[in-house]
Amino acid sequence: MENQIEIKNLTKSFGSHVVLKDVNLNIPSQKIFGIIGESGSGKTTLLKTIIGFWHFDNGQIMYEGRNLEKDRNFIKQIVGFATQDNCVYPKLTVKENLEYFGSLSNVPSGTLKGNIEKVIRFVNLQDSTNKLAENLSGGMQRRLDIACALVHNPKILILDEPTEDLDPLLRRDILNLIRKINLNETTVIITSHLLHEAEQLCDNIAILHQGCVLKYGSPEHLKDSYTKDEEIHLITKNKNYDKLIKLLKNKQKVSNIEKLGRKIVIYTKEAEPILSLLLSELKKEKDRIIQIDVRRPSLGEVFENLIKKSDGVKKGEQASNNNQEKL
Amino acid sequence: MNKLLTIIKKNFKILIRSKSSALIIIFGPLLLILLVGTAFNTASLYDIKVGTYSSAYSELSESIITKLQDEQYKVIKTESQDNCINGVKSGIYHLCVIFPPNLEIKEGAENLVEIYVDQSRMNLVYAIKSSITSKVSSRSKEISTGLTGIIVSQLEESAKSLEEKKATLSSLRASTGNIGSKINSLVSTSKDITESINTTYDELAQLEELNLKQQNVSGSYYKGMKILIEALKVEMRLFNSSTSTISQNSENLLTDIASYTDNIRDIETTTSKIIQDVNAIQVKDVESIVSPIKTETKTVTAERTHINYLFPTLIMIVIMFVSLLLSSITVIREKLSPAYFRNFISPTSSFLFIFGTYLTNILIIVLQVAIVLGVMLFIQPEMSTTLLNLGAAVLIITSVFILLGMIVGYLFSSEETATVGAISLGTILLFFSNTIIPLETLPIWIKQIVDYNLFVVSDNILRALILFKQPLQQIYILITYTVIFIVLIAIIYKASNEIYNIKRHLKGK
Repeated sequence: MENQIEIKNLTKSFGSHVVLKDVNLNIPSQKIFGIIGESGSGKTTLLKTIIGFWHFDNGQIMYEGRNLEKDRNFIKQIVGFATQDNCVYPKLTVKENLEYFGSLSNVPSGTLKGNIEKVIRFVNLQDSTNKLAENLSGGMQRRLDIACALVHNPKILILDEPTEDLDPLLRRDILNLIRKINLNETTVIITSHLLHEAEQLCDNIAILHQGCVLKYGSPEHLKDSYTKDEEIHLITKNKNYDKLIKLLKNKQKVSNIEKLGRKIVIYTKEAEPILSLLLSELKKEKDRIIQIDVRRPSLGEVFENLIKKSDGVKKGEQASNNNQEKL
Repeated sequence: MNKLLTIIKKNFKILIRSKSSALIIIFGPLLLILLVGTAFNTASLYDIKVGTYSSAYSELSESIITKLQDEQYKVIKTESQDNCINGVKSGIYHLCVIFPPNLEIKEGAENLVEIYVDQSRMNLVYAIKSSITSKVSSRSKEISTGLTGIIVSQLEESAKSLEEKKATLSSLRASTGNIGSKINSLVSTSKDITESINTTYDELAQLEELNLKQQNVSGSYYKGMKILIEALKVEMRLFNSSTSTISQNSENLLTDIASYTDNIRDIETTTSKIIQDVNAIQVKDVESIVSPIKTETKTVTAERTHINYLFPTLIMIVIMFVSLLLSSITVIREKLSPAYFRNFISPTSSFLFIFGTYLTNILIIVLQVAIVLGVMLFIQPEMSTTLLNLGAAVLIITSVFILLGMIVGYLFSSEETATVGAISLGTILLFFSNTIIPLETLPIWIKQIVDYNLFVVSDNILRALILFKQPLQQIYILITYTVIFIVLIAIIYKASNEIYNIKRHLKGK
């Protein structure tokens, strides 16, 4: 797997406020790469820095072996960018917006016409070609924004929180569109704070916290690095879990058991034998299963855990610094 | 080039599709010029109200009022001097004229007519003041002409009479001379008589002596002879005495006649001098004496209506405000547009966006000015001689103001503040120009700065071209401004975008 973008030791600050600290990332070609983090973690700054909108303080950004600082125009040519603000002119029609941005991106006029038709079909805006952008619905405007980012046929599409402010149906549409774009061999980089969405969509994910990349890799890799356990979520009719907890507590393959409201969660390295044990025990107790799930830990849990760890380390470092200062 | 056209096309579409912009910025100035042009297409002052007061109006003051009424002024007689003056303060009257009671021409009369004006209405006050003063002066001149006419005619009449009497004086002097000569002759005759008497007397004495020697002459004859001789002597003495008196009196008379002759000669000389002096007066024409120097204000331009004089300034005001507002609004709208960010990340030079904005604005404004000039050219075909220079001047003037407006747009961060900024800037430039108050009223050091006011320089250029058909002047100042503004835009564009983007970023946009 070839890395299309390589970010090394990237640091960016606004005045005295450091927004990105020593960021290192390798973004593979033709994959969907997600950057997740809380609001204010530096996601948008990272995106805007890697497209050359912001000048960075330190580090290096390489696109297909070319340095961003030296080949800015080449990189602008191969990158498409869509923000959460819908960067289109409200007073221009769908077609005019695409013509305008296509022309700015040096698409020859002969090719541009074809590109526009293709991209309009692609984002499913055929019926709104001559509508002013301001008259489009929120979802259509977002699709137009993505279309503008695609009109010059970029190799890399960067989307900053593309599903922000959209209802679930529109969100699903956009996610499907992103998958469709990726199927056309376009590398997609997206940011989101909706972790389940990123988990579903992305091939690789970087977790950003306070300007630092805490971890990045495939969702599975991230989960594995957190725990190898599987989770059995169980709800029974009688909800008499004490006997089950007592029974499972001493089993070697069970790492932990938690009672969370109406359900219990059993963490285990092997779910199958535990499941058969549970079924036989419930049969014996004449209880009935209302719901049972076997899951890996969610990305949310991984994210939460990593942030807690990071904050803990920072607090520790701070305390040690304070102690040293006291000494 | 293709990109540039795309940017311009996009700017035009956005401007036209934004109804308020299209109406206010594109059609507004044309409408403004149409309205102003129609309103000022006259050469008169209308509805000027003059308040007057006099405790006793005289025939003369009434004649001045009639003269004012004949000139289309509305004259209102007030009840008191205070009413009249307060009327000016409250704007009821444009000015107040106070006549002295019983204004008439008489010995020692002061005849001071007071005119009260509202100095705060600077643009109007000079026009009205000079108009009213000229009307009052005109009546005063009429009176003065009459009086002077009488003096001049009397003087001429006197000179003529003296001239006529000059001959009489000469004849009188000649007659006196004759009389003198005759008296001289009389004196001489008298002397001759005296001599004859003396001779006769001597002869009588000889006769007496002879008579004495002639003894034979009878006594009675002798006595008779002696008596006769004695009587003759007495008579002779009396005659001699009378002759002496005549002679004496004649000599006195001669002295008197000489004195009279001298007096007559003096009168003659004085009369000649008076006649000569009267004749020496070169100007006897009353009009010339009353107004030895006449002033007549002639315009250096063809005299037409107000709009002709206003046209360059009107064009300038439109160019300035439309350029400042249009360019600042175009820039700020672009900056505030959500699509602005996409422009930044496109492989297009910033210069193209700036140049595209400039070209869009200049195309709109030049089109507007071209329409106005076209209409003006139809009304005033002689303007065609300077059309090329006018075109060049309009282009550079518009460019400078557009660049200035763009600077305003890049400096401010909202449409409202940019609009206020552009209007304020335009107002300052307009205020420190001849349009509102004469620049000559400013202190010299401020005037020296204001002479480089963009509006003043541009207005001067257009006035020289439109009113006086002169070649392009002071254009180098505008070129200097253009260069400075381009450099400033390059600096401000970079800096303001950086700041603006950081602000947006910090706001989370």
